[in-house]
Amino acid sequence: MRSRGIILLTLLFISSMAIVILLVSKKTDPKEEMLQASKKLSEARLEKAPKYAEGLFGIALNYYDSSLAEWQHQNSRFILFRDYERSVQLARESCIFSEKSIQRARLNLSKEEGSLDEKIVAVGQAIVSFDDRFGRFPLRYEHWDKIAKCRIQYTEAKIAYKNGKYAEARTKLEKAETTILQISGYYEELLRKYLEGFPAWNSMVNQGIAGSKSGKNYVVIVDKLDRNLWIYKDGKVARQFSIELGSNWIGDKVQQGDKTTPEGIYKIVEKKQNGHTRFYKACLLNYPNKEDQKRFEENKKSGMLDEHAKIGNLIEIHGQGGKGVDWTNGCIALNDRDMDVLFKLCPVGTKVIIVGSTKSYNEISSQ
Amino acid sequence: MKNKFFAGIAIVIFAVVMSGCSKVPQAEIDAANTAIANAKAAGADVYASENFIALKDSMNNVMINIESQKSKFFKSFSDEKELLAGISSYAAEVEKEAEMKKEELKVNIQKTLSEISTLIASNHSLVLEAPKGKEGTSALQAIKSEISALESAVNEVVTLNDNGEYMSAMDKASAIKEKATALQEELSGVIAKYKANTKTKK
Repeated sequence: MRSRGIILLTLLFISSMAIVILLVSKKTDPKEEMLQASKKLSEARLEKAPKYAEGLFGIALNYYDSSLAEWQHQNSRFILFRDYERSVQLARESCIFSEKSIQRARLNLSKEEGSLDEKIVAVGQAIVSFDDRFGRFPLRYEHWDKIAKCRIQYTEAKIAYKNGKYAEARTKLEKAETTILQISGYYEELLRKYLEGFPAWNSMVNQGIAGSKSGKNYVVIVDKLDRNLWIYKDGKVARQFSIELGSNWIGDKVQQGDKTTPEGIYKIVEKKQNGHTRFYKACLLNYPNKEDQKRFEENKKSGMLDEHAKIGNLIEIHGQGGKGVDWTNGCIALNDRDMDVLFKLCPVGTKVIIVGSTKSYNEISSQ
Repeated sequence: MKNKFFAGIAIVIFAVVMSGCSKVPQAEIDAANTAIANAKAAGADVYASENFIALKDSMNNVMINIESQKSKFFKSFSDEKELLAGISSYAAEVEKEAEMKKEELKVNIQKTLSEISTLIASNHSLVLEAPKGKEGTSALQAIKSEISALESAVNEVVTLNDNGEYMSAMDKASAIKEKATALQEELSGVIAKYKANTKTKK
């Protein structure tokens, strides 16, 4: 009787266990969903979603963590009371948001690439345009330094972009852009102020061209900004040459040693060749003329110039140019072949009009 | 007969109890996590990023499998233990890969710095070759400034290198080398043109 009871109890225990196992095995855990969610999160990471779709990726990650936490919570409960439905749902939500983050990241990345492409071109153009416009300007020392750094930053930005480091590329591009725009702005203003002298220069040039018509003489016109020298005859351009100037060419000559080419109406007073000049051939101008002397004295009186300052002299149009840089102490240099022509055409007494520019600021800006 | 029946029941109960009590392989989990942390400390997330992501994915999947086993009535963590051991050794490989990549970068940085040094020295010599006196070096001020900027950028590379930021150091060094090369070409061009024009006269 007793042993029959034991057998019965044992059978009852085994049956209960079988029922429990059956019930438990029917409950599916969120493993598949979690694996899927983990895979999607990984895909999203590879697509740079943490950076380019931060919000959506954050939501996906939260859902994933919540799903895992819920799963762990359910596993801590008595086996019969576990319910994985919420964990499954959370894992599915994680998948959905991972996918959304992938799409958004691709879109944002493509936008970022496009925008960086444009910025690289824009900053590159700003640098090239600065070189074109102000490459031969007498730049301030600190500006040379900044521009040099800006060029290096630009190169670094292009390398960062090539290596997919977009944030770094953008930061460097923005720094380079700020520098080049600031410095360009400074010289643009300098140019604008310099070209305020245009009306007076224009009148001098027109007067000179008119003189070449009536007097049938050659007239030389020098445009410092454009680095051009024209020889006029009968009101028409007979020849045009490229020139080089003093390194500090912008503005009128103030004193000896300022490496500035004077501006005004001069004439050739002496022609030198055959060993009488170091620069192949040279046409000496009558600098300083009366106007220059008067201005120089006024500047000394006003204290703008030191009392020991000298006005300078020996301003010439000479040969040995064509070096591609502004290298003279204030003279105008032509290459030797062009100097031969000028030397032959222009006798002593030929009028030489030196102006800052033959174009107005508006004309130059619209070019 | 009766005894055999009870023995069978006892075995079943023992098996059930033993399975239910199978322990999570915490030591292996800890070892794998430590290996991953070591790989990260070695810079694997930067220098072996793809493998590091794969490594973390594998770890996540194993943790999912472990949780899944915990959900079961009959638990068995033997597969997961094997996987965790695999992850630990994979992490060690990723760590080694990161170290190798860093060493490779260090060598390349030094090589590039040496090339830059040669280029800068050459640029300095070219500047000295530039005309003096009236045909002054002031026209070469731009180039001098660029050389000076390159020299200070080299110091930045050295600092980055010393701080262990090898990727950034390499990128910067590459940019400097590119710029120094361009400068050398520009300078040679200017001097050649200058010399050519001076010779014409003589």
